[in-house]
Amino acid sequence: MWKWPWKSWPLLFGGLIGIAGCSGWVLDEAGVFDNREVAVPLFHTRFTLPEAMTGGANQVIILPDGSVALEYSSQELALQAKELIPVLPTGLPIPLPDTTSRIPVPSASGWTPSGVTFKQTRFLLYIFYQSDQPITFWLEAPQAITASGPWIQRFDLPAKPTAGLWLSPVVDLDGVSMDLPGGEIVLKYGIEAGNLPDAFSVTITFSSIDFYALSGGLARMQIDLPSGELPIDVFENWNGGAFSVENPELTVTIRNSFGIPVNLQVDQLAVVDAQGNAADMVSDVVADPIAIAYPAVHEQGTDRATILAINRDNSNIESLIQQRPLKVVYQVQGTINPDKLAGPFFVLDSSRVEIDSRLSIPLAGTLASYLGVDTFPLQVPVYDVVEQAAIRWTTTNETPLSLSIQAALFDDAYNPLGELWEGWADVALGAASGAISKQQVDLPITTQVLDKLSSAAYMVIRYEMKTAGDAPVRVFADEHMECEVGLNLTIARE
Amino acid sequence: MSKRTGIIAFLAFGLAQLLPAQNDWTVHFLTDLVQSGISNPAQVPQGWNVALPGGYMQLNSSPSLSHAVKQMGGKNQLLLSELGNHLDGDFKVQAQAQLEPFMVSYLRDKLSLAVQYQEVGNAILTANEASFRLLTQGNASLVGDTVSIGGSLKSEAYQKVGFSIGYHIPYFSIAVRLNVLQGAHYLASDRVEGRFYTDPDGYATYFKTDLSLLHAGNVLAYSPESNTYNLELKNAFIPRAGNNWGASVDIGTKLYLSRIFYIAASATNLGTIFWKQNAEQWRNRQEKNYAGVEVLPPFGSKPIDFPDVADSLQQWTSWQVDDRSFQSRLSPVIQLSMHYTIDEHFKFGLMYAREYEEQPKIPLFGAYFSAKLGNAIEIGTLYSTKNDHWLNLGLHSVFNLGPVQVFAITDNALDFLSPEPWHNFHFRGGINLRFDYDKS
Repeated sequence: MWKWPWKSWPLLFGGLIGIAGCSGWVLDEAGVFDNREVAVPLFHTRFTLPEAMTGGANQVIILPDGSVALEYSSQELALQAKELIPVLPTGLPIPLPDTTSRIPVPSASGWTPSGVTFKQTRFLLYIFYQSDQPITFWLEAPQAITASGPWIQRFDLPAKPTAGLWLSPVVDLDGVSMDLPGGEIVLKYGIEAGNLPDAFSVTITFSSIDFYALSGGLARMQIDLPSGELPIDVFENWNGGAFSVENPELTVTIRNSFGIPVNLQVDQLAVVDAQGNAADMVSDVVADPIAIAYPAVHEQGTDRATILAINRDNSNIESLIQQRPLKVVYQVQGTINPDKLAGPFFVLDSSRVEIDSRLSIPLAGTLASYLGVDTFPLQVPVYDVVEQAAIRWTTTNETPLSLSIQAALFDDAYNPLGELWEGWADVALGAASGAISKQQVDLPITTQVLDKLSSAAYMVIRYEMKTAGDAPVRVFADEHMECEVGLNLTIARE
Repeated sequence: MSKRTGIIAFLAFGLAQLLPAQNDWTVHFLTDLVQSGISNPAQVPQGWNVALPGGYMQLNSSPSLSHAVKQMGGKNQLLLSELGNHLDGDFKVQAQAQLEPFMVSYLRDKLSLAVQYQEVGNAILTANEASFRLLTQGNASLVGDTVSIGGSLKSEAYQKVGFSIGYHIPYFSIAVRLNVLQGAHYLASDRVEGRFYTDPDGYATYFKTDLSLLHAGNVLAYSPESNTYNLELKNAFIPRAGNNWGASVDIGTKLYLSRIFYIAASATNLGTIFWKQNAEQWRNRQEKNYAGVEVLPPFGSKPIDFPDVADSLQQWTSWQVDDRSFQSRLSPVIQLSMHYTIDEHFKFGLMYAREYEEQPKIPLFGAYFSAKLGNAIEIGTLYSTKNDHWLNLGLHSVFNLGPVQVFAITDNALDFLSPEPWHNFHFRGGINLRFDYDKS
């Protein structure tokens, strides 16, 4: 007879307790992580100073030794042909009193012309006559030479003209060159057969007069030339501190295609700083006056250059640049034919005087502090599970410039969201010549902006560049700065 | 189901499913139970034996998943990242479950017959330490290190119907069991290679993967378009006819050297499943080097559009799926054991096992001892070296209540009695009915 093993209850009871102990196995949640720390790359950039500094008012040029300079330039059109070519009256009837007539060319703009080449010069002939027979009329300018010989035009005049007047079609002298002996236009006219009818008179009326070229004597004249300005933006963000620049140079090139002697008087050549204070630039090469070169008569169509190189050897430019000017200004006057030479001189309709100014500031010397600002539009994904974040910024630097940055975020309405990290971050150290420096910093993102990252539409980066110590340094075009920037995120489980 | 939920569910599925037969050792020595024949079909109790629904489960993880459980806000959370401080080498989690709804055996004279139906689930996941830290803790702690991605995954679920026949003469028994298999789920790594590197300067990331998984069945589905997983766990347990047929053979023998001493040998799980239903190969083969957005001078002229890292991860973790039929071998096991009856109260046994699929780091060895308390109660213990531990101490108790047998077994009592949840454990329990048995 089988009996219940009562003594086994403790074992059975213990087993039940063991099974019941599994009640703690009930899980409310299961996952791979509660939070985890991920490191993701953000951006990287590698550049040289010439590449980075392109885009302002300056150009970056590479000097023959491979070093880098900023160059600011301006081109001013100081004098144009229209200012020296006379404007002659039109619309007035000019009678030709005889079959050979000499019409004096009026002196204008100081010119005593001895030759012209017409451009878009047109006239009408008014001929009064009575004749029962048709007449062939000719008009000749013996001093005007064309490819086929002296300029001559023939017209068929009808018999019995209405009211005794015949009006010619428009006659165009475009391209016709003409000598003006004694300052007069010589014109002849006549008919092909027979004698001129009685009471035959000819009148010319010019509807337009212009010139491709004009030559002759020119009186001495004083003319005001427009003022010039050369902006320099490299010092706009200057934050103070000492600096020095080695051998800046201002090169002024004056190109003249007028065949006329011209002297320039420099009324002002100065630099102007941020406060509006002007300081004169004094240079041995800026004579008073400056006689600018001009092409000879046989060099028509070309120009001659007069170059003024203002540097530390002949001027005070180096000390002026130390004053961090924002622009170079100049004001000059011109004197035409200052020595009252007889000439002949010439002017073409394309003649001009151009003043090309170039200021070269080598990136060489010392720099205590240079501040700059750049604004970057942003698009940041939504990371609403980020608990902490830190930026890792590593810079490999071949240049002698160290770099510190601040970054602030703004929303799409430019409302400030806060600084990305606290204070300035020294992200790059200047490298010794021929060496490479490497700097790595971890920048915790402030909790103030952590929740607002996805709202950021703009990041404004303020940067400060400086050189170390008092020894002058030089930036070369092949020196790179490489920034590798990543983000360390502590991400909570969603 | 979201991707994240899918992964969690998949892990949970693995943890709930696992338990290969070779890890259920104590029952092998309990020769009065019909379940002892699972590991050796020649072990058949006298008379009719009917097993009511039972089974066993095992969870083994290194480090123990108990370290991963934490309470936050009154909620129980299981977070794998919590294992980081306890990691000493590779991470490994193995879970097995075997439901045995029905089992019948009959032994009379020289002939034995048996029929059994089982639902088997196994899952084993390994990851080298660096890969595990990368997955659970993120890459920040591995910046500057080249991480070799390594590990393995195998999970399977199938139904098994076995028919066995045995021949028994004095001092010798031999039996063979033919099993018909119907696969419900298979997901296993075919190739796992890769490298991952995060540069310390700007966290520029390089990675190269060459991953290949074989998948079949209707428990887990992956959508390449959305890169999401869908888990239908119930499909693992509902018997249904599909195209994933297979077969296996178990063979066992006993040789009595004396009336109280015999040795047994068996080879089980000699079979294959042919996977055709939803059979696929998942591949992730790519090489990428990403250093973030390239910003070119002049600065400030163009917007900086930071990409969504989450989107990138979505792309990097996607699979290319190709239809591909394949076959999978079961995990063969060979067991050798000796059984010695000391007297009418005490028994002693030894066992050596060899697994051909999962290579353990230390030899698999077990020593068994049991004592009968009266006619009704048998208690005992098992020392074993399984689960890569030199010390596993099992406990078991069997209550023979007339025709009713009630038993509870654990091969790993030291872990099983831990008060912490989600500790390693092994448990088998069940109730059997027996008729026409030897009541001596």
